[in-house]
Amino acid sequence: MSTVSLDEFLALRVSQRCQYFIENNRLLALVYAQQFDRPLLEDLFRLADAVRTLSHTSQGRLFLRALLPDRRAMLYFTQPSTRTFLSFAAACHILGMSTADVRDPSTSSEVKGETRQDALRIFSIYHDLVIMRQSEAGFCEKMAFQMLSWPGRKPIINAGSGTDQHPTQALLDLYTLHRCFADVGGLDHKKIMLVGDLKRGRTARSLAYLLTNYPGVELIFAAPDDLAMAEDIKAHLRQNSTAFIETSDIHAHLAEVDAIYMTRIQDEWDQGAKISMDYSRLGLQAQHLKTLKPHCYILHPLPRRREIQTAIDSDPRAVYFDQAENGMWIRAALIAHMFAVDKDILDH
Amino acid sequence: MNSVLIKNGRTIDPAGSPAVPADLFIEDDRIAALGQVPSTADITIDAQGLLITPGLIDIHVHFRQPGREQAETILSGSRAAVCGGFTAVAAMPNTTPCIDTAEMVRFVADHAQQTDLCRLYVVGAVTIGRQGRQLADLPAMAQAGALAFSDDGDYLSDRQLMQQAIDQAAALNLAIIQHCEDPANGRGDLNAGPVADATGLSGSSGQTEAEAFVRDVELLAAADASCRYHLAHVSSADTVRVLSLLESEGLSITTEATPHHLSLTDELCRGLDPLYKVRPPLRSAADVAALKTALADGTIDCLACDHAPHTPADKARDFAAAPAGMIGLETALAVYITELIVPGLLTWPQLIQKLTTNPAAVLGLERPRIAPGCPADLTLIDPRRTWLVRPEAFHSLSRNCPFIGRTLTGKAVATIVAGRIRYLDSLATTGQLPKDVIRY
Repeated sequence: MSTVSLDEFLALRVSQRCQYFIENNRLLALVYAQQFDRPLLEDLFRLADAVRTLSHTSQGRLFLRALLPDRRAMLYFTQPSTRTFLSFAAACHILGMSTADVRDPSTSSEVKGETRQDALRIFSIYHDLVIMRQSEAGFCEKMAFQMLSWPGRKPIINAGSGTDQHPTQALLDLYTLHRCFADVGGLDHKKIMLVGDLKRGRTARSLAYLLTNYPGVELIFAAPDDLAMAEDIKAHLRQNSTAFIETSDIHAHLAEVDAIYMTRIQDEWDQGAKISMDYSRLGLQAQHLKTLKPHCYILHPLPRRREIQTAIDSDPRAVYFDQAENGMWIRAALIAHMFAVDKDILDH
Repeated sequence: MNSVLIKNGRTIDPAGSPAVPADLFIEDDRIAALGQVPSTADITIDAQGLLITPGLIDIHVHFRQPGREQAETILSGSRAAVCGGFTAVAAMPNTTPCIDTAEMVRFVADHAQQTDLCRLYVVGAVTIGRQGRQLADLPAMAQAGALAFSDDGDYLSDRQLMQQAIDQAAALNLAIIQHCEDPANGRGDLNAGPVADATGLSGSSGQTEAEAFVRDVELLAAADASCRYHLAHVSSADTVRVLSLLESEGLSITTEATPHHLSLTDELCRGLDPLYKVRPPLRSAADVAALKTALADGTIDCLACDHAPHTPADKARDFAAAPAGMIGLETALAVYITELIVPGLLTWPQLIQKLTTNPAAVLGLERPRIAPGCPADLTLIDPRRTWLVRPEAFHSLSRNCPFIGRTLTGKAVATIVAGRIRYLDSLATTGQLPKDVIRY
């Protein structure tokens, strides 16, 4: 680690940078969705299933809480996000970890001119894990690299940084798909439609990226012309021989797909005129349900707007609320993996 | 008292809802508790990740005893059944001699009872010697325990005889199972079409199956009493079309499709490998697609594999001379899962209906359920398992299976008949297993 300087590290490609955050098949820090490969994903899914099953009984919950009671996590959430915050806090508490949080940097020494790096270095001294959500692009990876070079080698989990990365959201999306298809032959060879703001929606981007780990998966990108999936992801798909098509109307494909991943328009990034979405061609309405396959699951990272009618919520194929629950279990699994208590859970 | 505890599994209720997590406790031959269960039992099975369904029923198998015991016996066929996840089968009467008297019905039933693996229901022949000339003694066979009548393998061409059979079966409240290939219409070894043309062998079209069936529909409609009629191994799009037109006619007609007709086409017959010779013949891709649609929309009620064992020597003859038929009990469930569940055509409850409650209704059996007090006939299925079909793993005495060498998804991993574990794959268990459990 110490043989490479921060500048040298940052000059590397993402795939090379990933190598610095893994040791003996165990993540030292989670910064990029690209860090997940198929074996790691399968391990984490198995672990999340085990955590979930153990949580069914009071005995199991007490066992889980006795795993990491001596560890402390800091939730450094300077960009507002209540649900990701609560999901991570719950994940820590499931494993018995205690948590502290920094949500408003204006109450810390940062206002006295201290750099955020120094502040974080101090904060990390009190904790064994930093879970970080903030808006500055590139900050999380820089901190992850540096913290591993400081004494204590404290790990970071990226809980969303700016517009580029939100790896645990990608992880929970994939875990949800994995669970949906567990009884029907798995995720391989399934046809998945991603709908909405594919250009700026980092969840759709990461999901499309990670789906190259599943042979035979076919993708359909349905988006307004201005918000189509970006070229970098499409190049990655071509490189990995993952078939995809693009459309601006979902209706022709409803009967053939195995899952639909809906996203909202991210118009908070729009400057000036807001790009809008034609919900008649890209929205899901109750009348579409009868066209869908009996196992065509509907996902959404939430929050939603008008892209999914609320009348759909009661259909068993609407799994967006389960998706949020899955997030808590897979985050607990991720932390258990990073702190090497995965074997205890699986053997219990 | 013997007890079995199945922990961490999910039960599938054929009535509809998706899989529900529930522990299940068996005492002797009954399900004693569901959900709230005792914490210990003589044997505990860890069913983590598995689906628990009512015991699967295959209403169309050929065990070759008496007469051709080198191809299959009641024992070897029953072993194949439980290894494929089936707790009950209905055995067709075309043995040598055939099952056309009360005495023969008792012979098969007694052998099955001694074999004591799966439940075996006897189907009696409709006509003496299956010759289609004179009606067999249906009431006597019913008295001896036959649960349906069929001249399967042959179509009962004689209208008058069929009319009598319908009347008698109606009076007995038992079903007639019909094989719709009328020799009067020409009975080719292949599906009429480009493949038959290329090989130079005679072909019979899917239309002839539909016509043979329509003749029966006329007779059923004209009959005084309502007779339960089951159309075996539907193979053609034409027949599916007739079935979908019939729905509102008020007739008591049920149907089945086989694993091979819903997944294989006559393209496989181009090389004239007798492995692919079957009746009705494998048909076109359009017929396969029609069968799948009919299964998905409920036009076809049941799945049955038409397990038809033949010795390697018999199947080694040339295509025209070789006997027709394929074995299926040990691969059927995986083919259904791979062809119907994985692509999303059927949900799990829909599939399990076609393998439990619907076939039970054809035979007039008690409705299979998973509930306290019900018989403990259960199948445990691993929906995620992918496995290679290898002939050396078969328990059937025959090897004429068209799915050998294929990788399939889903597998029965435990079969419990009347509370006794008859088959167990590599599952984690505690407690002393009975010595006679068949292991994968």
